[in-house]
Amino acid sequence: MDCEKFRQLVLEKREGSISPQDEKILDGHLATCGGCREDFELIGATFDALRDVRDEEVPNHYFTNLLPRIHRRIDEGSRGFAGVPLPLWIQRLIAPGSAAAVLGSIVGLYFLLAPSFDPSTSGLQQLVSQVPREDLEQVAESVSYSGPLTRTMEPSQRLLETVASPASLSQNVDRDLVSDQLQHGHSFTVFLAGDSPVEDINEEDVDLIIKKLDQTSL
Amino acid sequence: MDQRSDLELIQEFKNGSNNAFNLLVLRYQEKIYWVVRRMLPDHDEADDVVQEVFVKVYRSIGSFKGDSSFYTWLYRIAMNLSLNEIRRKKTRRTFSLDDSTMQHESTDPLPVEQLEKEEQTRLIKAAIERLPEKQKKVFILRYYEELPYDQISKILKTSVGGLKANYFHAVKKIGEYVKHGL
Repeated sequence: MDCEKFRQLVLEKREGSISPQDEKILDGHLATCGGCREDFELIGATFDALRDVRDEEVPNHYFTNLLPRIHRRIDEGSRGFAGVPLPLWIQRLIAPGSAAAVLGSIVGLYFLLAPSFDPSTSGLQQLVSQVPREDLEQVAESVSYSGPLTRTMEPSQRLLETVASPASLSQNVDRDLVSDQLQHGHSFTVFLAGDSPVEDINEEDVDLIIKKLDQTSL
Repeated sequence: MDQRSDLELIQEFKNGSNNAFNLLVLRYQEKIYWVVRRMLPDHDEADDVVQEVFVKVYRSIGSFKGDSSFYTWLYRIAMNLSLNEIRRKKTRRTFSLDDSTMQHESTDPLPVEQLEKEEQTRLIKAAIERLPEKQKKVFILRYYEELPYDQISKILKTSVGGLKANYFHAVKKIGEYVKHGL
């Protein structure tokens, strides 16, 4: 067993959840391995120190007042006409409706601009480079609250820079850029991801999206 | 204490009952506050994110299919919104320490032992704040929330093996920060 495999046992021993058999194996290893012994001491000292850390203070009545404040925020984000809140069912349609409108605009822009696409670059690059910067900024401003598809529409600085200088894009899909945009819930990545809510996208989805992008003949 | 399960309340909420939503908020507000607060040491920032978490729940409950438990979904939203907030602030935030524990009302000098403890607390908080995002999330859910790895795995959508490695590195890094200073 190499040292990598002892890490979990070190944690388990320090957390007090190690089995007697594993403890025996770990003790045997610690007796002969200086590196793991150091880790063991350090982890133990860290847990001791952590136990001494006091929780932060919460203002008095914070939890008593939280619910009304949440409702105020919900109402503020969903005022209808003349300050009258919209019915719940309409409020719930707004986020997906906004998402659909935004995605529709992006897709529309894409088809509008499709003839000028350069087939030598990848789908993502073309998509990014063809969406005008001001449209992305408008997207950012147009959706001010959460929805499963459009939780945050704020374009990252990196995307804006990329859009501003599409010539600087590399030939291959930039994995970091895709990840970054997924994290920011950007419209086009969400669109390409299908119906998955932003928070449900993981690394496997990123791979899938990159694959889709590579296969997309824009 | 209401005996209805989360799923029952969610169903009632989906059917239009605001009271069911209120009960879900009351049931989880403290847990979510502390998860967020440990990601964002500033109370006001944490408060803003906590409200946003529940607003998101209110608006997005239709997308909750019940494939995972409600609190898994909730924790995931809280983690993601906290990270968004951290990223949003990153560019203009200089590293600052929450010095609430450093201040004391009395003008009397603190005993050496207490000063040492406070310095250690300050270092630990700073160390947690500086952990890489992934390690920070795992550390908070494992150490503070005491969640089992399989639940953290569902929340963060990461393999248990990866989580264990992240947790080990997080604890070790905190220890090294404390040992060697920042």
